[in-house]
Amino acid sequence: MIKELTLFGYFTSEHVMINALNYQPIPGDFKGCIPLTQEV
Amino acid sequence: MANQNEFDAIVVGSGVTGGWAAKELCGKGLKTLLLERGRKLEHITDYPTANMHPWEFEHRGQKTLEDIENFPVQSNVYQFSEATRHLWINDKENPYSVPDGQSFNWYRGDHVGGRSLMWGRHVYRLSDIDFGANLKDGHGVDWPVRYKEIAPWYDYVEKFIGVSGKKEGYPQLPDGQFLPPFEMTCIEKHVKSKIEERWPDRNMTNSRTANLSQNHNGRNKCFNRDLCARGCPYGAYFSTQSSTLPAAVATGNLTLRPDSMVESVLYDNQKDKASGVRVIDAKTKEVIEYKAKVIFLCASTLATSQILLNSANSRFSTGLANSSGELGHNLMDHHGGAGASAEFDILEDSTHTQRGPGSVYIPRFRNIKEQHPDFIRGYAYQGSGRRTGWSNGIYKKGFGGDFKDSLSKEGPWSFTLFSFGETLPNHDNHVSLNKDKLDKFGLPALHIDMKFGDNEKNMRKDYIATSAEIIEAAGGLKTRTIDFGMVPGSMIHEMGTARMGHDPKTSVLNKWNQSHDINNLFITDGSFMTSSANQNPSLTYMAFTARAVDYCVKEMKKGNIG
Repeated sequence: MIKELTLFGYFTSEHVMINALNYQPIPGDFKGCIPLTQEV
Repeated sequence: MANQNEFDAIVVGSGVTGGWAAKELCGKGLKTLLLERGRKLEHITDYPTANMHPWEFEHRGQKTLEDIENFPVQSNVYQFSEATRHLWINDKENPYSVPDGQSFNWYRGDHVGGRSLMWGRHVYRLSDIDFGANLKDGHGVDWPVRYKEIAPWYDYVEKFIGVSGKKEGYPQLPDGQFLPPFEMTCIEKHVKSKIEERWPDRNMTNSRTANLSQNHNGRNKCFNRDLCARGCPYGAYFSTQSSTLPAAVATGNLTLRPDSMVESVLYDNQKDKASGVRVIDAKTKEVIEYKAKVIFLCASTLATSQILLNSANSRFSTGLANSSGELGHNLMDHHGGAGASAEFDILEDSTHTQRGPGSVYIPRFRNIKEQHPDFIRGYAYQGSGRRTGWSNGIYKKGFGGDFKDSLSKEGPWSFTLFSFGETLPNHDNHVSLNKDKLDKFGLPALHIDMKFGDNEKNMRKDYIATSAEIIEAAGGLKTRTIDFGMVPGSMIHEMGTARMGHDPKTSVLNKWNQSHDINNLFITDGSFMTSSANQNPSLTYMAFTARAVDYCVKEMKKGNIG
């Protein structure tokens, strides 16, 4: 439970979502299958 | 209009079918009163959470212990979260009862648009395999229609609402009028090719969804945020607010009255027709009667049943329009919430862009060509394949800096299948009024008595085992089966309590969704479904609604109704 909440709190925080997870509020188009290096 | 409380038509309920009935009636020139028990809810301006980021929620979007206490039933819905809490009905003010030892999950909203705001948006046509099923195996009564009569109406509603999907030519899942499908992900394409290679009669296609893959009818295409249940500021999925209501309003013929609980349908004994409805205002508790030439009940299956049972009178002592005795009976819901999931160690150099509403669908393959030994009829799967993210870390060993960094990268591909199973019509599954339990309007609550039978249970064993079989055959590692339980109502596809049929002695409605007993009363929500099929039903409800209004208005012009 503690681990779950720690991970959850960290990975849904503004700083982490924007800087580490490349959070896109509006992804735009959906591409289902692209090379890993190409991900926007 | 002599009296401001008199209309050409009254529609009860503003959800999927009520919005459609109002649009069609208004479009044909009828002054229409659209009554909704719930509160006003405007497109875009009343979607308070639509643009909120996860960190802007007090609990990051999660449901709280307080939620579970305040919403003992609604908090179980997969769509229930801090972001959508305001769209689910207040359970404590709106109770219902079940027999001891049984359960039923009645999930619903309480606002203009109803569940058309929170729905899953999957839309599939029924085929003659479905329309002919009752006749073939003797459960329930024969549908009084077949696919060719409904096909033009499926065309009609799909063209208006916009459905993204791919034509495949499957006999058990007729093609529709589609916008381009949302693309499959790499793992979905991989699983598809593996299944179809191994089992030629098992197919996988893109889910058919009421999300727009391109701009359509003045509405904006989907931007793949996957936050649909909050309400979409772009109008990119079908809801009453985004689609049918603006069209109805544009005709100038619509009067929308929220906060209007319909207590009963009024019946004129002398003229032998419905004359209007009695409404309790949700805010003032004032009782108001509205009159009309024709009434469309679109309150959703259980609510429509409740209204008609509550409208019993001297002529119809067990419920209005119930000379057959079938009103409230033959209640069905799909069963599901079970399947399988696995991770894959392939395709590690590929990924997908974020979120998106697309998924995959495996149409029914059981009891199409061969007879399964343990059950009749069939089921379908909805599926999804994505790269896993940080949430995988909850179940993995590790902590500290390196662990954190590893979770910031893409995890392995995962693929999951969930089933939707057909439920046989059974007279014993029924609703009645519980006069010992009153809701906030002082009306008797509904008592809901529904149990799944052996056919459903045997089908469940098969769809769980088969989902694992499919995923393993595609290379899934550590495949695990999932079973969230089999509580009736949980699939949110309740239907059947005012079924249509050829014979007024065994059905409530005729082939036009018209009451056999009262010719100006129509029911076009899920109540009319004579069998449940396995397909998500909302598209079928829309098609029958548009067709019923078309018939009704033609009959009114001939002087046969009203």
